[in-house]
Amino acid sequence: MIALVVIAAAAAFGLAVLIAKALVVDEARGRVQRRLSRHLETTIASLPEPVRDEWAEEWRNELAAITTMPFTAASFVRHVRQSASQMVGEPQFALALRRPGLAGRRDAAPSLMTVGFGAKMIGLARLIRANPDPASRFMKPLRLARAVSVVGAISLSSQLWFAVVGGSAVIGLLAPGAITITIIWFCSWLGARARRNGRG
Amino acid sequence: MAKTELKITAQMFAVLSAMLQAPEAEWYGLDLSKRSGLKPGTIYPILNRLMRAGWLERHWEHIDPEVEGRPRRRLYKLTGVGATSARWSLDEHLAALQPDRSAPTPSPRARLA
Repeated sequence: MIALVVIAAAAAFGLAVLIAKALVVDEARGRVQRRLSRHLETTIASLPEPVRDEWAEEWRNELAAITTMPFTAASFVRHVRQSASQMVGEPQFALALRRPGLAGRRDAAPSLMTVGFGAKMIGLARLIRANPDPASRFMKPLRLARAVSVVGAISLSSQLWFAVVGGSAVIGLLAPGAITITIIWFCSWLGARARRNGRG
Repeated sequence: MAKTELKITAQMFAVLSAMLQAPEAEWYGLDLSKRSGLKPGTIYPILNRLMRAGWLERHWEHIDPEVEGRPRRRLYKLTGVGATSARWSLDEHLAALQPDRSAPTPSPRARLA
């Protein structure tokens, strides 16, 4: 009787694990597919109209055909972006893109990089106009993000190093903590110095 | 489509030699990149240049996507000119890679110099 209960419980547990796994895998796969489609659409949207008209449908269809293979699809999306920027520079599209008053060169087609860079510069200029103190607006989050990523990377690598080389549990736990605190202190000191210099 | 002079690259060679294995066949981008050993998504500038040169023609596949259960593909095919020119270019480049048998073999000393 007990054996029967154990077998039934194990079967139920196995079934639950299988269902959960299927759900998680489906969810992850769906997310990857949506993300890749979004990236492709971003690439397509950033293209000039002649290139978009000629290639967008083909790229969408080919991505749809390989969407069940996430690594191939990711590689496809990445390379399509490179191909698109290459094709924007092709004479056939460059001629179609001829616009008067474009950066002094009438026959110059804006490359993807130029368009992206220009858009970023315009966005940056707008933000600077909107904020009286742009340095504090931009630099703080940037520094914080950099500091957090550096601290995380160093802390993780030191933990791994101590775990592998150190062999001592106490050192393995304390040393990364001490290193992390020192780095946080150093980053905040750097930030304070930068702020002082900015005011000066 | 305006014909332009074509500068043949190594990737283009790979695509052309894959297509020349069945000059009458029609290929879609992913299949062609797989057969020519290129990474998926890198083939489009090559196809674009070959088309502009008049070596390729293309058309949309005539299928009902709902019936087939997949989106339609754009199929590429070598034109008559394309097949001849591709074969000629490949032969020419392969011949250039062959060692010149009529030329005397340089001595080891000459090779070092």
